[in-house]
Amino acid sequence: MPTGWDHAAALERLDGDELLLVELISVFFEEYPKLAARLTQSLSLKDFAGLREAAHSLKGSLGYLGAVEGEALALALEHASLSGDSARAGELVAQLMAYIEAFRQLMVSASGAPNDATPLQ
Amino acid sequence: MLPPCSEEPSPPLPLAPRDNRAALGRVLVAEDDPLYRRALQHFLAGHGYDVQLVSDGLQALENALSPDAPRLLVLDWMMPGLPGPEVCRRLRATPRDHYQYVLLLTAKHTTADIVEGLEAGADDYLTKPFNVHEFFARIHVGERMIKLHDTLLAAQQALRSQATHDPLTGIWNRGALFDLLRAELERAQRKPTSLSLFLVDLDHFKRVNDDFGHLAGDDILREVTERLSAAVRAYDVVGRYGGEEFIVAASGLKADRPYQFAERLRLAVCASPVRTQQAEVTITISIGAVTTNPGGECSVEKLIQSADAALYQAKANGRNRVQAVHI
Repeated sequence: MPTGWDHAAALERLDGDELLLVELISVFFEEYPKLAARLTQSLSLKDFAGLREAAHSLKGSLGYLGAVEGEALALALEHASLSGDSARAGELVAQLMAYIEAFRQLMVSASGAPNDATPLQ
Repeated sequence: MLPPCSEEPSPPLPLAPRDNRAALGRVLVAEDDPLYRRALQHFLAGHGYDVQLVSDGLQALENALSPDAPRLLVLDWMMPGLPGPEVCRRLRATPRDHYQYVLLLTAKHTTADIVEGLEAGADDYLTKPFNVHEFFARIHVGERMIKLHDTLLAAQQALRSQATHDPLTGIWNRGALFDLLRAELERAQRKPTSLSLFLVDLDHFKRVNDDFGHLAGDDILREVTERLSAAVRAYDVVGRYGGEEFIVAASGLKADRPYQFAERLRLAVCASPVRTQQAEVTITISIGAVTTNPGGECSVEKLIQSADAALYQAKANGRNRVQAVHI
């Protein structure tokens, strides 16, 4: 579970632009289903290149949003993909996806909006 | 200027690069990550930049190499098509009129990565996740570099112009004339067509300078230049050969036309007096005209020699006239 979200750091990077941060978070979750699918499919096909690309992309986005733990998980997944460690990669995919769901919940409760997250397959 | 003929020759001296002002204020952003795309678009558009946004390295390269391409390029490292450094390499390998500043954006941050990025031709490097202030600070560095480059280019062009143009009249100077004449002669021999060289000398110019002073003399030289330039076609050559001597070169004149061409020059100068600060002076010129045979062997030196002999004849026969020969 994400214990924290370095909201302050994310905001500082954006020169305090809260609206932009909200917009970027929204873009992240718009794009996420595609990335999630790519993670699970690459994993089952043992497509380590595809897995690494998806992990790299998530790392970048989560890092930018201040989701530090997620960023670290994605980085670890990148490394696991590079070394072809299927078992470790599988663990990390599960952890990462759980983290992102928790992050989504955090965003939802922070904004006070109703939970409209669709369950992932 | 007389209306140009249908034939359009290529200029022998290189043209200056086109004015690039339209490309300033434009930025090319190559980034495939949707978050960073949104952020960069937001930042740059918010600061008044005209943003070209692509998500693929090949598209980025194509945009970067187009005429009037943006001078500022913000390239992600990892993206589809070509990675950022490869876009850089190919860009730097292509001769460009205007320098393009490349800011490489990437999550890669080891020394080896930084070295690779810079050695590939990037001017600067910003690691993700980046701070917007730092981003703009580096963009501003880029703009200073571009401005510096443009200043250098303008100075270079001014020097080149100074080196080839006569400071008083603004037309080609003697050195440039020789290069141009050589090129014209080569072209005429290649086509093949004729080349006519007109050696134009002001009559009694020393007397004019003595009577009215050198400032008046300068005014006269400028006015004669104007009149000669107005009497030739757009692609004929007009240059200052000596203190009171000009050379005009024209190609494709057949039979009697060199003589008629020279007569037009003569009349353009003497038809009306030249107004100087001191007085109105009637100026006449003598012209030695020589025309080559299409495809015939010749040298610039030989042409000038022949024109000089013809000029001498014109002077001997009373000045204010044309002596035309074929060689």
